[in-house]
Amino acid sequence: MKRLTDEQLAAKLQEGDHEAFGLIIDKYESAIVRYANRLVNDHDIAEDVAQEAFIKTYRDIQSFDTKRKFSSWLYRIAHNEAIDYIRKNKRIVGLDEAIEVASEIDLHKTAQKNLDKSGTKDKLEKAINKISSKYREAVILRFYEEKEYEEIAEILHVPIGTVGTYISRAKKELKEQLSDINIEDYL
Amino acid sequence: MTELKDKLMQKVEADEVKMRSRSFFVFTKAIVEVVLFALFILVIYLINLSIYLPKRGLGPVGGGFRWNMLVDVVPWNYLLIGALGLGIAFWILYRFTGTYKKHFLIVVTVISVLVLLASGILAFSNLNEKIENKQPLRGIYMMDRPGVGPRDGFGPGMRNLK
Repeated sequence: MKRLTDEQLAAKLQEGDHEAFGLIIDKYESAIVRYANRLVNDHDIAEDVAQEAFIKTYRDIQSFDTKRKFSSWLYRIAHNEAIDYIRKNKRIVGLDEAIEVASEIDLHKTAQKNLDKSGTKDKLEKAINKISSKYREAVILRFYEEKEYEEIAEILHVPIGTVGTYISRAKKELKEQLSDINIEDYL
Repeated sequence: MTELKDKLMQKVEADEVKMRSRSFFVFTKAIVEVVLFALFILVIYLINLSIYLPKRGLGPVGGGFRWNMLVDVVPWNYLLIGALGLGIAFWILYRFTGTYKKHFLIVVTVISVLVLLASGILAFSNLNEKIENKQPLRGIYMMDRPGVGPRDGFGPGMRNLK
């Protein structure tokens, strides 16, 4: 069973094979938690988001077309969950404020761990958290999750051309924020 | 087994999370398609009326065209409902179909042009004349007639009284 592709595993799950669901979780758990964490900036919340995403994956698996790419479908569900969480909690803690606090904490933690580094990566991460959310989502998927434009388009539900636009605009915004860093070396 | 996997597998084994059947998704998709089709038909018909009723109401204009006359004979309520229906149809298209793969503004523009074109063709065909005196559609076509619609004094009904 472990040799099966994601789409074959999804087909097995559609037939009611719970072992296939376990293998899907094994394969994607860390990636989905990491992706959610990048969007919500909180590891515990990211785990909740991932859990909800896997539950929805199981619940709605019959709607998945096995001719399509499973990982894009799963990331789309996780993306929606994370965005829903951010929207619902906007009233309690402003998104910008949450991002600011989370990135300050991240920056502090990372700075302590990587005293030998110049902090460029941290500056970059902080700057990424400050750019518009749609550009940030595209940058995260392209450069942290290493997704192709086609997959990003599927996940964000935008045309492929728009993904390119988002990424180039994100780079432009980052360049403006980080004039002392050559963005191209990192993204 | 990780904690998350453990939790999820327990929920699945305990049947706390239920898989939706394939027929549920087929049915949902069919509902969306039927609603969209019905909405577009309704919008085309209403815009057709918004062209046909003023055309019939004004008739062959003698003594020059007047904007205030046109404003008075346009069935604004039909036009408003049509625009609202079109807006809902676009929202359903965006939310529930794969139109996100195309630039949505282009989708909106193309569909709007097609809807206007279809409405125009319908308004200038003789379909409205054929059905306007038949029940239950008669009331829809009577809105500009004296004593029935809100705009007494305009339309062929008034002219017929003279």
